[in-house]
Formats: sequence, C-alpha cells, structure tokens
Amino acid sequence: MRYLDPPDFCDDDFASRGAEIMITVDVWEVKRPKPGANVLIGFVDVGLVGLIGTKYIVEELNMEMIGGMDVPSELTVSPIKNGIAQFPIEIYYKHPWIVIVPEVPIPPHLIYPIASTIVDYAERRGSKRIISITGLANFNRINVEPEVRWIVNDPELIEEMDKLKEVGKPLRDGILYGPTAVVLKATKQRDFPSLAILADAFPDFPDPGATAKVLEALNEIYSLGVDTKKLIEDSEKIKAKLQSIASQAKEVARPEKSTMVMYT
Amino acid sequence: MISPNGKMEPLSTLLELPDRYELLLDMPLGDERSLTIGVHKRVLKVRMSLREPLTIGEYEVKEYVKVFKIPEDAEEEYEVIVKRVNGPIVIIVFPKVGKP
Repeated sequence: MRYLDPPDFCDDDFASRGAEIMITVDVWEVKRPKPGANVLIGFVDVGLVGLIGTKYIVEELNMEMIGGMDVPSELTVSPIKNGIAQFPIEIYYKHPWIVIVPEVPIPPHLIYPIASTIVDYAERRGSKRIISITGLANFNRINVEPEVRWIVNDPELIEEMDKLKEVGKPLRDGILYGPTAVVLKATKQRDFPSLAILADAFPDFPDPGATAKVLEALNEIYSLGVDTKKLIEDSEKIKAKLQSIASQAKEVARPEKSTMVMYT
Repeated sequence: MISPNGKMEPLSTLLELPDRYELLLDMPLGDERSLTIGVHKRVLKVRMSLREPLTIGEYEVKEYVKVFKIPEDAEEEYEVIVKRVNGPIVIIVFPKVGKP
C-alpha cells in the first residue's frame, strides 16, 4: 500500500479555534472519499457496541480500507491481521459511508485529540454528518431488552429528527462521558451535524444484542442496508472472541469513566 | 489471561446493592450443565466448561474459572441464578450480613 503525504490538517483556521492540541494525530489516506458521505464512528466503549457495530458494517458492506489514524508518540500498538500490521484506527469507505474503526481502546488522555481529528477529517472531506454508535450502560441489562436512544448536538442541524423520533427516544437528563461526548461537543462548537445512537448494554460485557438494535435503527433512518440476522445468530461466538478486548477496555478506561450516563 | 491448560477467567461485574452483592459472570459458549461452585475459607471458585473449544490467539480455551474473595460484610451462603443473554450469564448473590 502506498501512502500519500499526510494531509494539511494544521492550518490557521484550526489554530484560530483556540484548540491547543499538544499531541499529534497522524492521518493517512490512499483514497479521498467523495463529499456528502456520512461518517460513522464506533469507539471501544460500553458493551463494545461501537466496535462490534462498525466492524460488522465494514464486513457486510464489503467496505474498502482507505486509510488510518495514529498517535505514534502515544499509541505504541499495532493490530495485526494475517501477519500484516495495521493502524490503531482504520478508515473504511463505501459511498455514502465512511466508517472509522478504532481497533484498540483509546486511553483517556488521547480521546480529545483523536475525536477532534475525526471531526476535522469529516469537515474537510465535506461529510454530511457524524454518527457515533455506542452502548448505554445499564446494570439491569440482564433483565431488559435493549432500547434505542439518541442524542443530537443541535436539533436544528439534524434533518432526520422525525425519523430519529420514530426509532427511539431522546436520552433524558444526565451526563455523558467518553469519546462520544467529546465528538458531540466538538461538532456543536463548529455547527456540524452530529448525533449519537445508543442502546442499553452491559457495562462490562460485549453486547451484540444491543449492537443489533443500533444497526437496525441505522437501517431505518439512513437505509444502511445491513442485515443483523447473522450478528444475532453469531452473538455468543462474537462475545466469546471479544472478551480480551473488553477486559483491556476496562483497564484502559480506569479511572476515567467510559460512556456512561448518570441520571440526575 | 489464558493459562496453558486452557483455563480463562470470564468477564465479571460486581454489583453492591443495599442488601446484597451480585457477582455477574459472562460465560459465552459455556455448558451450564458443567457449572460447579465451591466456597472455602470465604473464597468462591466457579468453573464452567465450554461447549466447544474457543481459540483466542494461539491459545485454546476449554474452561472458565473465576476465583473471588467474598467481601467481609457478605455472608458465605449464596444463591445462584443462570440467565441466557447471548450465552449463559451466571449471577451469584451474597446477602449482606445483618440484612433487614
């Protein structure tokens, strides 16, 4: 794979927003996506909903890997697939979808630089919106079926508010932690459409059931076209294989909280 | 961590409630019929074999094993509930000492 020079993400406009990012996030691309795409992000977070969902979408839609992100000074890891080293954060593309898959848990001090870079990337590539998918920690998940909830950064920016209201309920008062919160705030500052779709999930266990609910919501709102039947059938095997990542995520997130909502 | 003889600790969550502790153990691909639980000197040991071997990296996991020290303010008597949510989840309930 031949890599292009890193794009010119550092410019005066970025500096003028008052962001002081001391950590360099590298972005690599071999192909530039067309404008008008939806950027979908799934961090390694509650229930591993983001990771399971994004990887499943990439596989089902047969998406092409077009690049990646890395923090070379801080993320001293490289996922390995079939003997090939990969970027810790991969970018996949099949119009109109750009899917960003962080393959590893993001340490708390890197959440803001990486989330900001993703928002920057989405803006510069002329994307339509950013959609974050994640789990909503529910300690009673063992007794309940997951329900879909959503959060928007600004209702006036979101064209599909009516469809959102049909598929799920807004998340009521509370506090959102983690990378999803950072993305929503950063896009709010820039008036860039962004939303999060969540489903009740086990706080500490991989939750393919919750992931399926989120993907079904995406199918309804955006015609994503992903069949969740296989995800549900293989849910037990998926859970089993992701145990080590869930365990790492718990370690990396300590003492910061992951995406959890506290109800006041 | 997976031991060379195929044992792995399952993911767990400990919930502290006003009157009890609940230990949840996530054991996907586990065979509920092989569940064994024992307590000795306030240390709980839970074991469950897998229905089919699970390969993680270069290791083959055949059994889940969880060792857990019962909190000081919990009774040694426990209740076991097994639920199925994408695989067996074992819930072990320890009442708190002097519960109302």
